[in-house]
Amino acid sequence: MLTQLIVSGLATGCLYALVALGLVIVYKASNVLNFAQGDMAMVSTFVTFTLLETLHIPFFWAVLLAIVGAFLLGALFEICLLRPVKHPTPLGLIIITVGAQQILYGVAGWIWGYDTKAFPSLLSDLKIYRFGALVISEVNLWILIASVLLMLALLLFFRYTRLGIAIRAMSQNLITAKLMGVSAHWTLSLTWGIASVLGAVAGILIAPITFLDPNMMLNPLLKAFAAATLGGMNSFAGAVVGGGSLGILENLVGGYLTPELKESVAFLIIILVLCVRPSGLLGRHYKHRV
Amino acid sequence: MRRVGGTSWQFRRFWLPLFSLAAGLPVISAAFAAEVGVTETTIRLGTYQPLSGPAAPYATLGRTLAAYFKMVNDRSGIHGRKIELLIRDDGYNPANTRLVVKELVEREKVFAFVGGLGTATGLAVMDYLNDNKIPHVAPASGYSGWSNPPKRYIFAQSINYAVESRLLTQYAAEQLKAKKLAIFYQNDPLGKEGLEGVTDMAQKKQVPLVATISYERTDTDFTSHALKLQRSEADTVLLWSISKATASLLKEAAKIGYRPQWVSSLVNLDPVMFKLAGEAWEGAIVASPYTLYDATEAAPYREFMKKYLPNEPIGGFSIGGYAMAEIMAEALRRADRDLTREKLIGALETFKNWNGVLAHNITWGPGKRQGQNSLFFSKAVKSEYIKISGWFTLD
Amino acid sequence: MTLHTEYYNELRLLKSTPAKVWFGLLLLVLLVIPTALEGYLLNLLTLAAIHVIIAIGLNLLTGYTGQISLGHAGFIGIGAYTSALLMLKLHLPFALALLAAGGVAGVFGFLVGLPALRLTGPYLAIATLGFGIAVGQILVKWESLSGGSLGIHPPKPSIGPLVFTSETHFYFLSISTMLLMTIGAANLIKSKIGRAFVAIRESEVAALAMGVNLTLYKTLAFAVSAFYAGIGGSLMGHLIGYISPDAFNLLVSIYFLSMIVIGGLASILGSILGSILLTALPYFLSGIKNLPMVIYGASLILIIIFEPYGLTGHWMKLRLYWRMWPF
Repeated sequence: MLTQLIVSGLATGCLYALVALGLVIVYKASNVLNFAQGDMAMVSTFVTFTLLETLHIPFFWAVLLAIVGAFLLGALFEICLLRPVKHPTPLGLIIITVGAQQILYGVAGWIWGYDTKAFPSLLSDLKIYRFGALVISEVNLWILIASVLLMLALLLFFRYTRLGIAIRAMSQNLITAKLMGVSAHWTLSLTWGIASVLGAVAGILIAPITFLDPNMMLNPLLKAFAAATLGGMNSFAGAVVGGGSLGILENLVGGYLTPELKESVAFLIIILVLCVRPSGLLGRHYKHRV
Repeated sequence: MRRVGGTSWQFRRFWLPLFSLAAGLPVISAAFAAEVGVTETTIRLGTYQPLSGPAAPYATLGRTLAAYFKMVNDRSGIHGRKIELLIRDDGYNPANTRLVVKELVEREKVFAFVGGLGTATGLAVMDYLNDNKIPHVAPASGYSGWSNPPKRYIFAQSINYAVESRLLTQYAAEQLKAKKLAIFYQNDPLGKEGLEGVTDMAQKKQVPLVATISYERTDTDFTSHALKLQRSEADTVLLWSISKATASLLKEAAKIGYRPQWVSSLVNLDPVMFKLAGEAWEGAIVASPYTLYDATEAAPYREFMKKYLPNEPIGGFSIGGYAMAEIMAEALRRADRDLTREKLIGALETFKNWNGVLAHNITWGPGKRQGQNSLFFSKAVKSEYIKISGWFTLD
Repeated sequence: MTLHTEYYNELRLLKSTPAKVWFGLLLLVLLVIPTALEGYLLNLLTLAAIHVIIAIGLNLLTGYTGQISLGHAGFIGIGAYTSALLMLKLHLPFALALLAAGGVAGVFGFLVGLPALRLTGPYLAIATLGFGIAVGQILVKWESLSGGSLGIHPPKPSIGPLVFTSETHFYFLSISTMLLMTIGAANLIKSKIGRAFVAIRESEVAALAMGVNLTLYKTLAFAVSAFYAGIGGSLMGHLIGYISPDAFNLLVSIYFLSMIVIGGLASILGSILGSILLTALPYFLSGIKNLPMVIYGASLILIIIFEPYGLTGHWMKLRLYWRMWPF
């Protein structure tokens, strides 16, 4: 039972990690807590749904199209909503993402309705693989594989491509990066696009399990905040570690203690981490200059 | 409270007859025409629904109410009056419910409420409506507090959780011959009302209740719940859970090869379950308080949905809304042309084992405010529900 | 435009005779309103007054001191439950319960303020977010105290022989509390404490160098803000007559944050304008599905982009324009 709980917790944790990564990337690049991250992902998932169900596009192409759409949504978000702000303050930027979240939610409800829909998936939820005593469903297996691949790709991107290095440079010191020839505007839009894609992938992976409705990403988003806090808001590795351990921890509490506490784990973690070690497990403590 | 609000009631009861004696009939008709929310040509009803927010899918119920009254109006209304239903959005937030209900009562001057949705939302206005002598017919909630203790102006219709959970357990014990029972329930007071009923009845029927597994409304991963149920080796599991959680649990259980007999509360009597849970829903037994939507007797309902609500799903909330609306329409028909709130109350109290198209066995009476107490069971077979039992009433 | 010759002038709330006259007129209007308005609108106005109390408290924290709170619903909930439970279970008189509601919320504000000493910006946002959600969850779980998610019915308040039963009673109760709390806030801002708050917002390090005790004033800002929220929560609970944990969710916190952003940060007038606007908005938009959310979201974004000082900013510009007219 222990390994079983850990593996399925890890699968859930990977989804938290993907959303948390989106939050961290955006936070590092533009110092914004993105409250619209969840609903951007929700809209992308609904777009995939429409492509599959209404337009009958094959699964692979539908997902690919939706990911391109998600990228555009993220980039447009930055260009249309954040860039025009003359004197950005952390509060002002947070409010903008909150406003965008309300719009996305309202529009999604308008277009697709609020009733629960089953998300068509290539993967069977009932098909299982056995590794010794361990049972893992096809869906969970693919969640693990897809998340790990995506995270690896992201790692390589940030390590070895010029764009990835530019984003990292910008998040360390905007002015110096600009002086070194980084086009801040384009890099920022790109970052938002990537974050949105991460969310979209998480949404598409989670939809067969939690089903599809405008509220689907609310809880994962709150969990992702907890995961990012646990790992450290300014650490990519932290988001991954935070997401994974939150997923496992939740399942262990649910399995061994009491399911009633399962949902509170995330918020206990937030409060504990912020009291004891605000920078999170892997984050660097930030310093404030006058 | 009674004494403060009693003056107008006393006025109507004692002084009005005196006046009418003195001045003859015209006074009576003038006074009756002056009943709040009723004109020569219209009756104004109100309801509160979660049109926005997390509970927005439930608002299908409100739209069904509106569509039903539109159908009634298309067929020349009731006693020559058209019914006008004002729907207000409360976002499923009790504080808003209070506000919108006050608005409907004080600004829009509605005659009565029908099918207001939700338990917490309803509780926020239950006393307000009752104290102000405004009838609320068939609030859409199975909470037993609506009718227990009975309130003069609140006519609870839906079978309540306390009765339903006992009937479910009784059926599992007597008809399904369950050896070991388990319950899966949502961890809130309503889930606990179900748990209470199940525990009580299991004890009476001497069937061991081997596991009581709760989940939170926000849970998404049901691995641990399914594992715990499997380890309890229950052969029959009662489902006191909403569609999403039920579907996820059933899939999780199928994955680990656990296939007990599922017996579900009426919440899951919805075609959407076949889509959400897929093959795992096959063979599940579900309670139903209304005539089954695909039965031959329910043909008027299906035609109504096709004509008036082509875009709404056939399912629990439109079924409930339809039943509530037909009860309200019947009550208005029974109260005669000189409509007053007290006459509506009187008409509602004459309901005895009344059957509509979907509503079944509705009984109210003086001091009796729980309309429905019976249900039957159906089985999920190949994307449809098949009736497998007669009607049961708790003795 | 007016130069002050004395320091005392700077501190006075109503600086000129016209201001005094306007204020008097306002009081008069507030007094006669109940005779003119029907129950529902009066109810709405009462609710707006309560929202003003909470918004001013939040503005003290967020606008003046620069500390984000995404958990204000938690303080409001604590206030509402404290007051209701004290009256229901200990049969305390309303006036005491109301003060206790503010007090208990204030203590929680102080406690939340402690970790906030080490946190800024987004971290504080997440911390307060966690706090707000935790309060809701505790209220759901602690059934023996809070009645769980089915909620409880706060009793009708009374002070001495006066029982607040009708809309008009509630209106006067809320309006007078609001006026008191508004004047209190206005005075606080002009005091040493208020200047310390602003100094912290502008730069913590600089404030520290100027001798502002960060620990004291930051936790004080949280405590005062939570006190306002607690009072507002208590009044709201008694007005509606029903409270449940659902009524104090994240959306509520965001709702109040939007009020002060739309109205204007670091401005009492802004808190008032924002509260009235957002309270009245649903009244005008009721019945239109989905649109309220979209309009609400869009107005938040547009105000941040085009009018960072909110409605007050606009009001100031207008006033300046007329004063300078025709130049």
